[in-house]
Order: sequence, then C-alpha cells, then structure tokens
Amino acid sequence: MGKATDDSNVHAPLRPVDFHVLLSLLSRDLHGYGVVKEIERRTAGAIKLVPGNLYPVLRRLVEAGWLEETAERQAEDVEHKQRRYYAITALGRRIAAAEAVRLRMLVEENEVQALVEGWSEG
Amino acid sequence: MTTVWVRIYRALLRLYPRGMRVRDGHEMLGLFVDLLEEERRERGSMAAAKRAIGVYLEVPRSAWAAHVAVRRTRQLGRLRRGHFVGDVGTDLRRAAVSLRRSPGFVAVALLTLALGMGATTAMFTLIHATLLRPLPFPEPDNLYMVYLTTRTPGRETRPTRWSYGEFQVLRDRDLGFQGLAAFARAEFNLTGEGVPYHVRGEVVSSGYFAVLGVPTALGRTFLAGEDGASGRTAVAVVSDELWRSALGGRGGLRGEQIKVNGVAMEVIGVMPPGFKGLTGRADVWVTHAMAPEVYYPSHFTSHQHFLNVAGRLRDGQTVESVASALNSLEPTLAEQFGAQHEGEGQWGATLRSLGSERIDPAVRRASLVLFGAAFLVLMIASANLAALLLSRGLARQREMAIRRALGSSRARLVREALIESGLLGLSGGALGLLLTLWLTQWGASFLSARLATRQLSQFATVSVDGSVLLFTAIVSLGTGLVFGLGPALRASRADVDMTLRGGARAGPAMLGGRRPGPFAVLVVSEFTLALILLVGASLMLETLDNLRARAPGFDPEGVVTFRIQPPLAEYSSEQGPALLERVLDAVSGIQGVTSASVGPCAPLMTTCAWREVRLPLEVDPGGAVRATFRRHYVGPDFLRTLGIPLLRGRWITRGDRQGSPNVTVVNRRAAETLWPGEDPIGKRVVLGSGEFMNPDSTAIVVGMVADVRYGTAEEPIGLDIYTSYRQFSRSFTYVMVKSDLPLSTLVPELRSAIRGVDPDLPIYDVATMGSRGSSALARPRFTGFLLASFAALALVLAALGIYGVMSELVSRRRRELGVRMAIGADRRILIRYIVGRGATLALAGVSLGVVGALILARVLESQLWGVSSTDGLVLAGAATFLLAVGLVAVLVPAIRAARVDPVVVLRSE
Repeated sequence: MGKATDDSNVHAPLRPVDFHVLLSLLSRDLHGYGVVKEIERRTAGAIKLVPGNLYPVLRRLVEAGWLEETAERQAEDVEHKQRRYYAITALGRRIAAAEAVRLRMLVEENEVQALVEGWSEG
Repeated sequence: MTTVWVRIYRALLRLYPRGMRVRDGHEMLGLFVDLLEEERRERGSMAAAKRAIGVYLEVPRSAWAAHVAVRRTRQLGRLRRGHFVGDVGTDLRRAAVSLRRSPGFVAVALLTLALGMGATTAMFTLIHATLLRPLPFPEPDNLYMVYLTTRTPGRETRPTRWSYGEFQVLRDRDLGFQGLAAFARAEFNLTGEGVPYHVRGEVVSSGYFAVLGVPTALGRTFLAGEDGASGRTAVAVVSDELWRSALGGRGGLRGEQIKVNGVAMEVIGVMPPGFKGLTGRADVWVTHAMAPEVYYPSHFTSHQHFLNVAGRLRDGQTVESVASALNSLEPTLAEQFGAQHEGEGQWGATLRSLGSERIDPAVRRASLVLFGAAFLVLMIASANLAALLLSRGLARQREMAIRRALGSSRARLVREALIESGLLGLSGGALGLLLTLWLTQWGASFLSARLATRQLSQFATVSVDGSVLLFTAIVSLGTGLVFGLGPALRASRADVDMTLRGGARAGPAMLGGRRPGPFAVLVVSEFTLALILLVGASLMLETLDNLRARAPGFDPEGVVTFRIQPPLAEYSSEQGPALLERVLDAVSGIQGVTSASVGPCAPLMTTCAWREVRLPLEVDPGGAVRATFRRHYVGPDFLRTLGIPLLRGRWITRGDRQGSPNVTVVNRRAAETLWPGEDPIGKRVVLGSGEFMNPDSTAIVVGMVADVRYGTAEEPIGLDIYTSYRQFSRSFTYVMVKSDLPLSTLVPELRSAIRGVDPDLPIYDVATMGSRGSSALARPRFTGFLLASFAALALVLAALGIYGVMSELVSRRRRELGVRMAIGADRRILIRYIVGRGATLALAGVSLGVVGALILARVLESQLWGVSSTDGLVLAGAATFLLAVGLVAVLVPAIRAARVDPVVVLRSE
C-alpha cells in the first residue's frame, strides 16, 4: 500500500474537485473559505463549493496525505484565528503535477488541438 | 436576519454523521457565515438569502453521501479486522441453516408457537371485527345515534327511540347536525311473478343515505319530497344482492317494479354491494311516506317509540355543543307529547357515538375474555419456547465457548441467537395464521347468530385483513425476540475456560437449588397460567350445563315454527284475525298435525315485543304500578301446542272474540309481581300505555300459566301477558305447529296449506323449537367451546413443558444419578426424588394459579350463570386435575432416570 501512494500516476485521472483543491493551495495555505473563493476565481464561478461538499473532500485529501492541516496563518487573516488552515504536502504537489502533465499531454494531442482551435474560432 | 439563516444551517448540520459534525461542524458553520456575509456585502440581502437557500438545498445530498461513506469505511474496517461480514442477511441465512440442522427442536418449537399464535390471532381477528374496526362509512367519528330520554320519577333516565311526531320536533330544529335520519326495521313480502318471498328492509328518511355518506351504485336515493306525511310516491331503493337475485341485476335501471307488501313500487336506486343499512340486514328501503301503506298504519300517529335516529354532526360541532342544544328540546317535547306519556317526566335527548353503539356489550365481554384466554395460551407456548431455547443454548455451550475463544463478541452471539428465535417466532406466527383462517369460520357463524338480536348491525364480518396480518407479524416476532432474549444472554455468558475444559455441567443450577433457576420459573408460570385457563373453562362449561338444564317451561318436542306477515294493504285490522283463523284451520287440517297456534314470538328467541301494562286508575290512581310485559297475541291451542301447564283459572277459548269481554292470562311471575299474595283471577289490567289507555284495552285476568323462557338462555324469567288474537290483533306473527311429521314432509305441506289461504303470502324463518333452543345457547356454547379448547391446549403445553424440563434435568444429571446408583441408591428413591422435584414445581404453579384464578375470575363473572366465579369445587377439581397431569408428565423422565446404568455412565466419563 505504501508503494502505491508514491507512484503519483496511480491516482490519475484525479477527480476535478480534488485537482482544484490541490491547485488552490499551491501558492499559499488557506482555510475553507479561502479554498472556496480561490476555486471560484480559477473557474470563473463555474464551481461554487458549499460547506457540505468541501469538508468531506478536504478530509479525504488529508487522510490520503495530500494535504495537511496547519496551524500557520497568513498575516491578513488575523480575525480568522480560530479557523483551520490547509497546506499542500509534497505528495500532494507531486500528484497535482502528475495530473497537470497528464492533462497537458491530453490537450497537446493534435486532434485535440484542432478541436480547441476550431471551437475558439467558431 | 443573518442569524436566522445561520441558525437554520446549524440545525441542518445535524443531518450529517456525528463524526463529521464533531470534526468539521464548526468550520462548516464558519464557512457558511463567510459566504453569506460576502454575498450580502457584494450583492445585497436577497442574493445572500438565495445563496443560503442554495446551500440548504444541497445539504440532503452531501449528508447522504457522507453517511454512505461512513458506512463503507466501517465495513472495510470490519473486513480488515478479519471478522465475518455482519449484515443481517448473512445472519438470517446462518440462522436458517442452523435451525435446519435440528429439525426435532424446530418441529416442537413451531408446533408450540403455532398453537399459541393461532389461538391469539384468531381471537384478535374476532375482537378486531367486533370492537376495533371502524364503521364502513366516511368520517365515521361524526356519526351518532340520537336517543330520546325520559325519566319516570324515581327511576333513572332511560334512552328510548322516537315516535314520528317526536322525530319531527328533533328534525326541525337546528341542533348542529349536518343531517338527521330516522329509520326502523321492517319486514316485507315481495310478490309479483313467481313464488312470494320475504325480505327484510328499513323504513327511512330521505336523507338516510346522505347522512351515512353512502352513494348509490345505480340510480338515485330518495328526494326530500318523497318523504314525510305528504310525500307519498311509490319508490324504493334496493340492495345489490336483491338487485342481482330478484331483478336480474344487469345493465341500468329501467323503471323496474317490485311489489312490497302488496304495493307496487318503482325501483329508483341500487345500493353498492355489501351495504345492508344500519340494521345490517336490509334489502329494500322505503320512505316514511310509504310506511302507513306497506308496514304500519299508525306510522305517523302512533306514540310508540319505534324509530331509531342517526345523525351526522356538522364540521366544527362537538358532542358537548350538540348535547346542550338537545336539552333545549325538553319544553317542546314535554308540551306536545307529555300528555300521551303520563308520568314520564323530564324529557330530553342524548347522543351516543354510532361506533360504540353498534357494539353489543355481551359480545364485547365475551370477545375480550376469549382474547385474554388465547393470550394466556400464547404465554404458556412462549414459556415452552423459552425452555426449548434455553436447553438448546446449553447444548451449544461448547460451540459458543469456542467462538468466544476465537474472538466473536458476546453481542454478536446474542444477536445470532435472537435472529434464530425471531425467525422461529415469525414462522410460528405464519403457521398460526393458517390455523386462524380455519378458526374464523367458527367466529363468523357465531356472530351471525348474534346479529339478528340487535337493533343495530355490528358490521362485524370476521375476516383476516391487513390489520390482522400486522398484528400477527408484530406479536410473533415480539414473542420470538422477548422469549429468546433470556436464553440468548444466558447461552452467551458461558465461561469459556470452564466449558472448554469440560468442567461445566449447568444442570442442577438451571433448575434451582436454593434460588429458583430459569427452568423452574418457566415451569411454574406455565402451571399458573394453565390453572387459570382450566378454572375459566370449567366455570364456563358449568354455566353451559346450568343453562341447558334450565327448564324451558314448555315442551319443544315436535314443534315447528314459522312466520307469516299478512300485508296491511290487503288485510285491515278487522280482516286480520279472520285470516289467521283460516291459516290455523288450514294448518290444523294437515294429516299428522296435532295442534297449531299463532303467537308473536316463539320461546327461546328475543323478538318478543315489550309493552307497558298497568292497573286501572280506580285501583291504582297514581299509576304507580306499571311493568313491562311481553305481549302475546295467541290462539286457543297455544298451551296445547307448546305443552305449557295451566296453573289456575281457564285458558283463552274460541269464544273469546271481538264483542265478548276482553280476557287475559298471565304467567306466574307476572301474577306475583302485580298482585303479590293475592289470587290474580278476576283482576283487571290496562294493556299498553299512551294511546292504548282507553277502556277497550282493559282486560280481566281469567287464568294463570307456568313461566316460559321466551328470551335468551341467560335471561331471567320475564312477565308475560297473553290475549286472544281475536280480541287484540297484530299483523305479523309466528305460527307454531305440533306434529309427528318429519320437517322435510311437514314444510312443503305447510307451504301449500298457506298458499291455499293466500297465494301471495310467503312463509319464512322456519325452524324447529329444538334448533331455536340450541341457537339460544349459541353464545355460551361458543365461549365455552373456545375456552375449553384453550384450556386443553394449555394443559397439553404445560404437560409438555414440565416433561421437557424434567427430561432435560435427568439427562444433564445422568452422571450424578449414575454415581448415586453405583454407591447403592435405591431406584425407587431416585424416582421419588425426580418426581418430587417435578411435583414441587407443579404444586408451586398450581398454588399461584389458584390465587390468579381467584383474582381473574371477576373478569368472567358476566359470562357465568348459576355458578360462582370462586366456586371452591371447580377450583379444587381443576387444581387436582392439573397436578395429576403434571405428575404423569414427570413420571416418564423419572423412570428413565432410574434405568440409568451406572457402569455405562461412569465409563463414558
């Protein structure tokens, strides 16, 4: 079991929501609200998480070792000192990177390129 | 505002699994607050509200997903820990396999349970039909019977029925009823094409069907204009049954005509199948408007109380509000009708729910007693089941110990045992249900025998329906679980170490040394319950014997009775007696008929009409002496036909006819009541009350006859007054015929004799006096039969119980017995020892049972006749009998114990 987690590709493809959570935490640690806002920003409001589906995802990712809960806080969030912050782990980064690579390979295929170009022109 | 949204979300959080709530609840709430605040800041309160609602709506989905995830994790965990997958389906399969491995145990357990459950379910079916099932009408709780109340000074208030005039007063006031309808039983002859025949019907108000809320299946019901004293229209509504049998019953109504008591009527409506009116036996309905012509000439003018009134409360009205409105009727009723009912002060009216009014109190008591008895049988059966499970648990102690040693939790073993016993319970219940289906036939015939005697139908069709199935499922599962729990706990408590080393022999402790063990408790309680049942059954059988032995006061031998009802439309009150004379002549003329008479009611039935009788005013100026008598309008051969002895004076003769002085004959009880210590001959009485208080209805007593039982088997002897049918007539009557002909030849002869008198006159309700006698005993016989069956069952079950437990004891103590014998114990001492143990248990149970029987006997009191519920002889007899049965059951294992070969036993160790 231990081996499998190290092989980052075994999880591909990631669930979109997992991938988005990982991406939202790449540059800084966030609490739940931050994660929701960051995902909304990244997807231009297409994905709006609510508490009921955010926290089970966070928990699952923490248990998988991709995220960890952290006591560190960002300076501007003093008023949220009670909140739990989440940070991406090294494993989480590797898995996010592996998914990104997989997606890039997917979109760089010629046929997909043609599709993308055709769509943006039309 | 925000706080409300947050508060709602906090409440909704409870839908998530506990673990998640504890861990993330606070965070989730915080996130919710943040999201909401942001939305409000940036897009206003409306947007915030929308957002909040969006979050709420998502809660069920994510909560469900979270629960599913928790479950999956748990199952995975269980698998990882190396346990068996613990879902109930697997346990059920396993229980079934385990039970299949011991067919003997299962057979005995199932048989025991099936008997107990069969009795209980059957009796539940009975009380469900008689007491619990709601009326088959929409919103039955709003339906009430309305009674007129009168109070004679010095007597308690008596609810009675209504005369038509009184009903009008009631109907014309607004008292809070949505509708009120008066109805009365009626008997009709249907004539026309083919053989004339008799049907039962009701005379009803036009709103009758609307009050009940029952629409017609075909056509319409009566219009308001067709009812009442002025609305004479010859129309009738018929039952589905009559429509199909007599009117062809196909297609729509095409102006079919029926001739009801000689009056042609158009059929305007057909009621839905099964509807038989509130009397539960009607096939034809006519309006009050038609009643004087077809049934009762004085329908509108009579002051007799013969109309039932049913009403439906308007929405929003309560019993209390209507009852107080009813009180306002008193002055009007007293003013208009007081004169006719002299001496009956304090008029009023009262309501009683139709749902409770239809329940015959005698049937209610009998049903409850029987249900209780069946429940006791079930308890005995359950005690046996518990004993069986207990010994099965002991036998499997080793298996349990091994599984405990291998890491099965105790809870798991208990659960498995409970699933086993629950399965047994349910299977026993299913078998019991089969027994019920067979037993309910009895119940059905019993009830139909009782129905005829009531003014209101009980709507009691005994049938197994959804409620019965539910009851059976719950009780059988409950029995399995409750009585399986003790044994399951005990079996799982096995001391692993001791059992596996082979040291534990639970025998002696289970039966009890100083403290009573569980087996002892079970056996004792079985004997206690069995004795209670045995005493109950003995008392009931004693009652039945007493009732059978009651002198009927007449000789039923060779007497056949039937009924005729000359239609009033064709026979006026002057022609009636002449018709009856011709009928009697024709019947007496049949070869083999010794004598014949008419009379309004035959002995041993409950259809006699009661009339008030008083003394002439000059003898009794205050009208203080008055009593209710059965009125008998009879012929000169009445005494000879029924073999009733004349005690004093003379009987009614052919010479006592219209024009000659009115004469009457009373029974002994009546004479003793009206003229205690005096000779009744020559006294004068006034027959009837109200309108009948005219000099013409005064009669001179010319004779006194012996008491005859006219009522039900239990009824005390009543007051009877006989007059000649030639002086006081009544349209419908029984004809009693004494002959030595068999019924099969007599009845066709009777039919043709009556046809000779009037071809349109049907004869009906033909029965020998012998069969009337036995149907008068129907209820006590039914109760007695069932109680005796339950007691017999209880006896067998208790005997099996003590036999099983003592056998168990003997086989568990084989080693000890072997050792005793090896060191020289006498076989007889051993037998005495085992029998002694058994007898002690039986005796303890019987003693407790005597106490229980003394307490419970009071419940039975109302069912008994001529025997005290605490009859010492009955108690002693039942106790002795039960002890004897117990001893026999113990003897077999005792002898087996004595046959133990010490060598074999000791070698096997």
